[in-house]
Amino acid sequence: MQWRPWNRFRREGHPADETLATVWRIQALFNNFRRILEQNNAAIEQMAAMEQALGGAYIFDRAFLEASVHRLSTLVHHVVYNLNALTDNTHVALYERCEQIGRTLRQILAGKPETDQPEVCIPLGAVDWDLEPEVGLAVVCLAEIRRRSEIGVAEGFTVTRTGCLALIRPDLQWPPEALRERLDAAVADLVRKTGTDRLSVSLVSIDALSPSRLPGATCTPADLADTLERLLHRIPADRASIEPAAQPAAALVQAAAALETGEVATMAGDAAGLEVLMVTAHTPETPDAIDRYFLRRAQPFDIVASEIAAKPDDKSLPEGQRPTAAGVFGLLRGSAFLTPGAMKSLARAALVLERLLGEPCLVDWQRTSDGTIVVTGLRSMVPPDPAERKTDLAAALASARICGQGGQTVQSGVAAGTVVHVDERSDPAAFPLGAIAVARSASPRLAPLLQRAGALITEIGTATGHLGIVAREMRVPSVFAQPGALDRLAPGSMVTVDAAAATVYEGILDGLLQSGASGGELFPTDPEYRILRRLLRLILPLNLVDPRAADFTPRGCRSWHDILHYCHEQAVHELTHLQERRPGLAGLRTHRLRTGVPLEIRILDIGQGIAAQAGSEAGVSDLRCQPLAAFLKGLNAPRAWSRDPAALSLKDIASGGPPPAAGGNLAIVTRDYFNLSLQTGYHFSVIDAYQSPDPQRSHIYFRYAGGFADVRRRTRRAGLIHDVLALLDFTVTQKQDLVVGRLKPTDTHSFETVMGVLGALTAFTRQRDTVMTRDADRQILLKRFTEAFLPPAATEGTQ
Amino acid sequence: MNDNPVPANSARLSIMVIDDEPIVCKRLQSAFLKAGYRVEAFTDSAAALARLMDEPFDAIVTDLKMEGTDGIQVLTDAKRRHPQIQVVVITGFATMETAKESFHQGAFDFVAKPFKLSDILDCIKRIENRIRPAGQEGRAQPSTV
Repeated sequence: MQWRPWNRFRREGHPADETLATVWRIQALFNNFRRILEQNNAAIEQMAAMEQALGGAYIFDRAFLEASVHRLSTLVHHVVYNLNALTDNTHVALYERCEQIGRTLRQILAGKPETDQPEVCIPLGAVDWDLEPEVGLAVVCLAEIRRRSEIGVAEGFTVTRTGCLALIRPDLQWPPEALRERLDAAVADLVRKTGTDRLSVSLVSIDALSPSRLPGATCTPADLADTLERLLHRIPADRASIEPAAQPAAALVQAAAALETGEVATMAGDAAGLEVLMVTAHTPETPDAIDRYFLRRAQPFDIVASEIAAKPDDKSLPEGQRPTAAGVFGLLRGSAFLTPGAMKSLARAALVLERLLGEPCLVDWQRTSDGTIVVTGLRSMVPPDPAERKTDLAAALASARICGQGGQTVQSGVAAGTVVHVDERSDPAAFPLGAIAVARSASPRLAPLLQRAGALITEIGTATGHLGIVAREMRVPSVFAQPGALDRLAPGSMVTVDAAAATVYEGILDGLLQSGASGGELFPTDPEYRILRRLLRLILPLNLVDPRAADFTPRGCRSWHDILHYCHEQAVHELTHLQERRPGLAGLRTHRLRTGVPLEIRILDIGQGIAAQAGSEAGVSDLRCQPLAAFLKGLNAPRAWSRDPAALSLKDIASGGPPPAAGGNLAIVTRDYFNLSLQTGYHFSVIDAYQSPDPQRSHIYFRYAGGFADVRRRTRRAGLIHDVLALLDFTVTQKQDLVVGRLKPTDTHSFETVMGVLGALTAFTRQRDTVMTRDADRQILLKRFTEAFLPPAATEGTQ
Repeated sequence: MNDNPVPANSARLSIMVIDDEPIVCKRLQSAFLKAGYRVEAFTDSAAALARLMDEPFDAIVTDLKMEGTDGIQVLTDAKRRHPQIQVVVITGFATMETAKESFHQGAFDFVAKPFKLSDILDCIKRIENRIRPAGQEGRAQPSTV
């Protein structure tokens, strides 16, 4: 309806009405921009809710997943629609990307594979969570621990569900010769890496882990395909299926060469009254002579008890020891297959696997001929009498002492260990494995610590920040924004963290440790978790972060977050070039702003940016546009204005030429937005700023170019502007005398502070190019400006 | 789902969870057990109502939209048999009408999914306080350092 008057005015051709129509059109464009921001906010909130649900913060059902995808789909489509309305349909290719991603999400909800052409062989190093429907949860967990633990995983590759199915049933996509070719290539690669002449092949369950092993065998590299085919035929008939999506198994192929082998059972009941895990070890030749070691489930994984099997005296043990040799203190070390250090490393690796899997597990390991200990397999386990223990837990918790409480659950789970205070300067490699990290703020720079931390508590931070995302990815129990955590959790104290309850207990609560691993949370073994995780892979990741990158295109958008970010950036870009694309705007009916400085600015109000009673001349007090008011405060600062006359050389005059065509200084304003095009003498600048109630959606864009002096002096001035913007945390680029900076302010205070500094910078750099005769002037003027106008925090480390 | 039958005449609050989505039953059962309550969970509302013939639970947490007997029927039937029973309705399809209807039929509270674990535990705590005023619940509170 709003376009009807405009069309009528256009037909009748009244100049004054044309003016009005132009204002309406700008209002309409700005409304498109505002809608993009609002829908963007709503979508981000919905994405955050889904992400927090993955962390265990909410009880949800399948309807939540379906409703969330539907709502997000609608919001993303509306954002794309409004961007195209804002830009005369410049980005229609986004509709196709939206539909492609949406179609895949619907396939995930329907339980179908995401891709039409899955691979058949994938090296362990290339496996990630995206491949879980093709390789199974156990293989994904092994691949994850391969990246993050001091205990490695045996080198190998996985034959995917698609590959296994093609082996036992003719497949159009993977005819036998193509399939064998891929298998041969994978085997050749494994033999080249390990030098092995024996392969271990084990089937792994796709949909659910069980305590029992699926069929497995060893074979020569040449026999792999036949061996695998035989194993697949041994899967009970009722589990096999003609439906590809229901094929129950993939296969894991590894080098078979072990001096010793064994298991870790992450939950082995009580030993000496303490909750323990059990590590076993034996040689392949003597499977009945088994060592058993019992370790506490909490860092530092103290050894509580052991049962050592008798061994021949000539058996070679780790570190060159023999079963009856004396240890470092002259004591007989017994005949254990494993050193205490190796046991603890295995314990830690197994507990990381338990956390990834979300339930107690059995971890297979082996020591290879070069002495390296590696994990080879993963199964679930049945914990000892869980119901009885849980009933006792309520009483244990009621009598426990709480030493920290409150804040936001980022990732649920339970962990116990020694408190270690950390900050951004902490060395991740020095962090004790499995200890409880306590920090002031949830800085993204703490992410490497999560590889080793048992749990993380911070005093400041939000669950939707980068560190929260990493914590959920790694399933590290985490609580952010817990008041007084650094004071209440003393370094070196032993604590137990229950992240779901945002509570920290004094000491190690064995019952709680057991409960955290046997129920009560959302686990990767739950179908809803796996669906949500797969959905989020196509919704949440932000891959397009650099608007200057070659793939910052609709085709480059790989997630809905990418599409939202792309739309936001393009919408801001459109607004920042608004006046260049519509040069007639200065002729519209505007207010002349009395600035108090030798600079005439005209105001075009498109939405409550100026007081209704303001006349053709408006004072600063008439401004309702907060961003512009903050900018003018800096612009009006007396110290920003140089009283020295410009120093011009003949070269300057020759290079300067006549002033560019005057477009005037025009500010298009609303209550929370302004786009100011400034032309002061021979330089041209654009400031585009939007102050959203949600700081994440605010933006400041600053562009500066030109000048009267020769190119070297103009470049020096541009360098000065570049340095100031960099100190303000702008993302800034400079090419000769052109400087472009972008900033997403973190809060209202910093937004207004930055706007004030930009105002002062605009005044301070006016005609400065003419006096910047030496390169050193850039530093001298930077120091003078920063001392006068920058907040102290921005200049730390620059003096 | 019901693998942990509630012993009769126990001092602890007894809760029946009814939801046709196993994940909801599993997580609520686990959370209530951890908090010290006695819990039975059912994905089949008809089986849950049959169990109510044997055991008058203190509280029911029921989904609204279920195959067969829906949450409103569970609410009305449970209230008819055991007027003292407290019923919390949980739903992913919350509307003003369904909320009104639930309260009209005597629901203690109405909670929209998804919800935080702490929200439903607070709700159960309020039921406990109503049924067993302070000093009678017999569950010690954790001390704070």
